[in-house]
Amino acid sequence: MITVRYFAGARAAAGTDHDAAPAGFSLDQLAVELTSRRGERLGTVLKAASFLVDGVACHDRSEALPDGVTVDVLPPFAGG
Amino acid sequence: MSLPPLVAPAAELTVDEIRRYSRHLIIPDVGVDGQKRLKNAKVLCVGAGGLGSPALMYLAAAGVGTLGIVDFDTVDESNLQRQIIHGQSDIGRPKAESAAASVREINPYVNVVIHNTALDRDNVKEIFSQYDLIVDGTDNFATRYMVNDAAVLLGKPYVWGSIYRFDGQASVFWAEHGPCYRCLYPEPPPPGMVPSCAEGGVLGVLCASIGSIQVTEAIKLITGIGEPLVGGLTVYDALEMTYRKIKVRKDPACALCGENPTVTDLLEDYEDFCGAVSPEAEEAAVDSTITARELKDWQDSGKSIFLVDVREPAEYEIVRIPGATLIPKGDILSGEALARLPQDRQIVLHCKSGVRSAEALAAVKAAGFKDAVHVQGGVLSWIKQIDPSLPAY
Repeated sequence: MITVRYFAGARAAAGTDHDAAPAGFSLDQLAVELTSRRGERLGTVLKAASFLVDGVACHDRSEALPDGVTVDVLPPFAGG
Repeated sequence: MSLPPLVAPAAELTVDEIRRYSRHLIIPDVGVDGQKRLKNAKVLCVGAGGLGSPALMYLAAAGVGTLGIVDFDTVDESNLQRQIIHGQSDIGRPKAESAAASVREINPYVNVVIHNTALDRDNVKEIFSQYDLIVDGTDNFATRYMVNDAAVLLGKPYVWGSIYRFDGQASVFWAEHGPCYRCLYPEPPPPGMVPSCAEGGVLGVLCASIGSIQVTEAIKLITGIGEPLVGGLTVYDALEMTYRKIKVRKDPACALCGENPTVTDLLEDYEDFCGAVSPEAEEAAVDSTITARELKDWQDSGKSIFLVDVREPAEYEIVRIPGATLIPKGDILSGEALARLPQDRQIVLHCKSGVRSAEALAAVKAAGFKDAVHVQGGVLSWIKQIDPSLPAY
């Protein structure tokens, strides 16, 4: 099982602060699955978001994610 | 993980300083030693805006000995809803000077250094090298990546904060001890995908929530107390009233601070790196851009045009160009609203400043409206050139 945690705009777009997906999904597959589950608004946010897999940025979005990881979805914003 | 103090203590505190800082001095963890470290500290605030306002004011009050302020902008009326270091009489004044005056009023013992200039690749390292610690309160991705890269290359810690609407994030980036900004956000978001506060708005008081976290972390680093927010990201949600702390680890593949860095000096052009508009939008706008004056002439001459305002409904409520129909950019990009565009009239798109309308223009042209154009500078140019009685925002 993969645990997904949504933050800021991703949380608002998803309408929830977390989701779960089967182990073995890649980030690309995860994005497709979560978009179909939560809607296109989340899909748009996911295109710009950073994904931290157990705290580390993920560069290879086609790599299968192991069981038990937590994926944090962080949309960037630069306001100050 | 606790870290040793960043700054050595000053030789002594004067009697006046002991009176002023007494509430710090009687906290055992701070004490005279901590206050002397604050006195000896040199902190640079990048941006005297939303985050820079509370940051500078609390750093000054806390007794940071040298405070640098870098900002090239002047105070605008629309800043005053959140940039509390400036006041009504400062409108039009350089922000760095206005902020410096407030700092001196709060604490005359602070040595204020004004950098009334835009930070760029030619001056950023020279300016940063004069300070122990940087506080990042800038308002765009290009400057944020440049601040990060300069800090990492110089080995300086910096306290980062970012805000949008009701959301805030803060962290301490210090490549020697933890991740940098690029470890968290390896790539800037695609151009046009992330609205700025000028486009999407920001709750004024959010600046205080995040700015105060930044100052807290700055004080902790300088004095060496507590657990600094190195390797952690605080995410604040004002609507839920929650602070969540996420662990962020150093990315071994980070282009800047990773094991095999590919970025070994400042980039040539950070605007280019972050892309002000997408290549598609840039291409669409070539020979298809008109000025606000040309739009007015077209309207006055009775030319058959369909003017589309691609901003958000809340912006349309604030101010609009006469005759414009509101169709938000998102509805155009998704294709949903294309059926509402007439085939027999020339499409003219506008937004606030000309960035979003360029993005929409690319989509509209791709949908077959070959003669569509957009208005350079958007409604802001209209206000400036055609009708200054309208409110700018």
